[in-house]
Amino acid sequence: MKLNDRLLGGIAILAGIAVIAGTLGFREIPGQQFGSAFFPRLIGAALILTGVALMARRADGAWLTVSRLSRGRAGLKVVSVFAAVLVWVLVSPVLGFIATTALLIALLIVVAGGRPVAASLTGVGMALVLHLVFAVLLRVPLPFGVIERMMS
Amino acid sequence: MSVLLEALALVLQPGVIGTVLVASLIGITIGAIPGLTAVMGVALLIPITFFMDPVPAIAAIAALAAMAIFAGDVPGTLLRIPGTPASAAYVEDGYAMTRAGRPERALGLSMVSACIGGTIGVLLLMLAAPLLARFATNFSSVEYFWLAILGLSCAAVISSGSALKGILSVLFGLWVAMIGIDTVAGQPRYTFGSVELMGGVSFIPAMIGMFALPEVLRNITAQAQERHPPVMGPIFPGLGTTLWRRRANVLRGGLTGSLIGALPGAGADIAAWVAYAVAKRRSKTPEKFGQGHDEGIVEAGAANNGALSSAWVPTLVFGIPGDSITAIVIGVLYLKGLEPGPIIFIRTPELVYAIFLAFLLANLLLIPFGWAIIKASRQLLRVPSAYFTPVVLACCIVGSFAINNTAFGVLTMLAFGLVGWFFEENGIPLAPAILGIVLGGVLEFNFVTSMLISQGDVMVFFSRPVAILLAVAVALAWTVPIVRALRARRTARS
Amino acid sequence: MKKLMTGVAAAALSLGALAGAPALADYPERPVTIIVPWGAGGGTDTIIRIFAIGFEEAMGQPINVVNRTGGSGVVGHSAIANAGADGYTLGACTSEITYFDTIGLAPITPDSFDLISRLAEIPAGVTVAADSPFTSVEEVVDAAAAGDLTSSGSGLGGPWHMAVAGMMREAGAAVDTVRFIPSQGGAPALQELVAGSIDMFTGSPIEARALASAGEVTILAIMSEERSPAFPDVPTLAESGIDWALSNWFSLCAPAGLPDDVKATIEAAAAEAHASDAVQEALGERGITPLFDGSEGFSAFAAEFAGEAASLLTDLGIAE
Repeated sequence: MKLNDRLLGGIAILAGIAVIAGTLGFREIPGQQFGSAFFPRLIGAALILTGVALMARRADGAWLTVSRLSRGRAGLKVVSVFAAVLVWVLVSPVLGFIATTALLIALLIVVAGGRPVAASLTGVGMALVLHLVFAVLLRVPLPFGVIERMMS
Repeated sequence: MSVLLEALALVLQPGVIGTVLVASLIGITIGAIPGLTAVMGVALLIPITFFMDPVPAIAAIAALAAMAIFAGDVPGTLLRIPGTPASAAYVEDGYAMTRAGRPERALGLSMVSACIGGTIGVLLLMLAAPLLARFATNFSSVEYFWLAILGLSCAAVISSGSALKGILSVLFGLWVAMIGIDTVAGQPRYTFGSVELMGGVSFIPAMIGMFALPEVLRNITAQAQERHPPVMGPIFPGLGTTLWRRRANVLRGGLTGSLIGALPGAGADIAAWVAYAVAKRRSKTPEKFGQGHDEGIVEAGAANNGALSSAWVPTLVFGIPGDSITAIVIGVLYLKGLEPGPIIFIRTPELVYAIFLAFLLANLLLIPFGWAIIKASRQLLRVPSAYFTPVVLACCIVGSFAINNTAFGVLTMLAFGLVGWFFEENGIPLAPAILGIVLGGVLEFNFVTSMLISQGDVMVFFSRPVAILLAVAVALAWTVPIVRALRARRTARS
Repeated sequence: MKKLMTGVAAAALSLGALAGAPALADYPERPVTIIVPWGAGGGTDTIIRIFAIGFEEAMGQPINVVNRTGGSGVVGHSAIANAGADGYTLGACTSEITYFDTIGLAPITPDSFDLISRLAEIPAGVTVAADSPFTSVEEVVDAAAAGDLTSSGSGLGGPWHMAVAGMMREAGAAVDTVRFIPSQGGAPALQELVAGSIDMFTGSPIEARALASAGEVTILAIMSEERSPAFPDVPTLAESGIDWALSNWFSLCAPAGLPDDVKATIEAAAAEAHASDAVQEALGERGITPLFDGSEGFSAFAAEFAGEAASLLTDLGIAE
């Protein structure tokens, strides 16, 4: 999604206003001239100024161009990557790290055009390797689930 | 001299050498895995060091850290996943070389410059630790404020393309740094009621998201440029000539890194960015930076490891940790009965020098171990993209998870992935945003504390000699390019 | 084929064993995680990692020490409080749990946890730069009462802020006589002290030890009941006529609602681990005072500390 400079400038101005609006409820500490709101307001003001400068420039091109990356099949693939990560976050506490990660890798390989059998093998293999490195060797408390319970 | 010999005898023992080798192996593996940091590696080593003698224990930490920091360049160069904010400074150049089919050149350069930079740092550590420490303790919040400004000014130098868009990127990064509990007043900012956000945005997941996720998207939609023949040439031929041509960069980078690294808390991050900016400023071909040019890689790569070594200066001399790795080291020093302080140089000089020698050894080992990891990583390039990309995504997920041991890190990565993608589509550079995230907190905290100390008197920023020096440097960083541009315009006109 | 069948049978058997196992088999049956709300390498982290070595042995299971940092400790403490109360997630609660709610940061109180025991404490102190005009804590207090002095060591409202506030109150001045400059831990505050931008450091003398031996700073007093074996020459505040002591403390805690038998197991294992020579020595070498007061003692102490903190923080104008 490519915006032209004027639209980008407009967004920057709105963002600046939002950043400043967000500081309105901040409490002040007695005796401190430069409190929690000072820097965010400075940033908000700078965002607005940058936005104005962007808008003032001669802008050419369409207001909004949708890149090839987000149209048609390619767009579906992009969405599937974001969805896959979201689903991983939601499902891994239940299924556990190994199962969820194996599924994520395998499904995305198929989406990217790989063969299902090879995809499943890669998924399971890599999930086990990552589990070995992170959970066993580095003691990272990865989501615990069905397969982990069987292994311990 | 006898002290040095005694130290050599302490280091050249099979037990010590063996420990260093094993620690190096762990370090290079940890560093090469996206999302795993040198700090995590060192923290994991601590329980093991309890059972070791002082010299091998410290040597193991030094070796692990040096290896991990260099190895962080491997995923950065091959996959565009920088291992640390420090290696984010030159990730674009390294990755551009990979896409041009010359990954071995980028990795070879950063390997050798890391080795030389690290060695410069160790030599400074050996020769001038007390002196450097004295310099470092002159820094109060006022000087740190200027240092952060100087670091941010680098964003103006390094960002390519539209200056306005570069500013937009910095501002975004600075705003992200405001998220979480304000450390001075205890005010939650932009947390939207989330406890996780109260802790702020950790920059490793943010960085992985911004750089790696757009790459994953491009690969999975098969819109990335056609993969280059998966060959990786020999590493060493040609390296010598390039490095000799860039010798000034290597030396300057090593020195810059060592000096900035000696400042507690500033560390490798600012060092690498400043070095990169200096390289670009002094270059005859600044327009090539970010397109796969060698000067930035060499200078910032050397600065990176130089800073890692000199972070030990304030640690050993005053017990003030130079970075998060040395913060852990202090604990180990005490446990081993090696109380930091100048006394350590008088009471047990042979131990201190043994530590320095072990450090030197670790830096020299960078070459064989680095060579091995580069060779091993070439296999990665042979895997077809359809299989490779989902595995990279899985690595990004685990890495983001492991930083704080929470799935929130994964969501952070995802959100910043969207931002990174949007930025790239609109020609907004990513590097300034990372710099903003890293420096935003430092800048605000030191500004506010300075104002609290001086009770609102702005002149405090010009009240100390080092502060004035830094202020002048900042002024130069801004005026020199403007003057130069004006002069160029005038000559062009006439 | 035979091999395969044996394998399948073995797998089935072990599955059956798993399914048939009683819900609360002998705790602990898998690794236990301890969440540290502060960064790796810090005081809390060091104490817990030392303790974990002994604890691992006493529990007979691996102990994973995990750092959950950020938000002035809110994030990690919330994670401990909200974890499952099954004994597999424990935490390293610090003094912040007694006043998070008071200063309006988060609804976390000692009641959010099952308090196991305090493990160690670190007393506050008064440290000045070597070139400072002060040679005793009396001079510091007099100068503070008369003029404009600054102190640092932790965040606003943090333990080292309370230390200096309590000291001035005990000396008969207003609690906010000394202006407190927030810092992100002891080391940056000491840096400010040596760089000459603040007047005193009221954090732990342990953190200042290296600088003191370097002759850069002077430790004038320690805010403990008795002199510390690590600093035999440093007088206590009470010896200077100011009856005030404050120590920051570090503890083992768990999410509220542990089953009684699990809690008993943890407390017994913790006591055993804490008493071991390895843990005692390792803590002692760092100048940390080991302390084990058990669940009851700790709970009573936490309530008392919370009252003291609330009164100081209200006087300082930081309480909500």
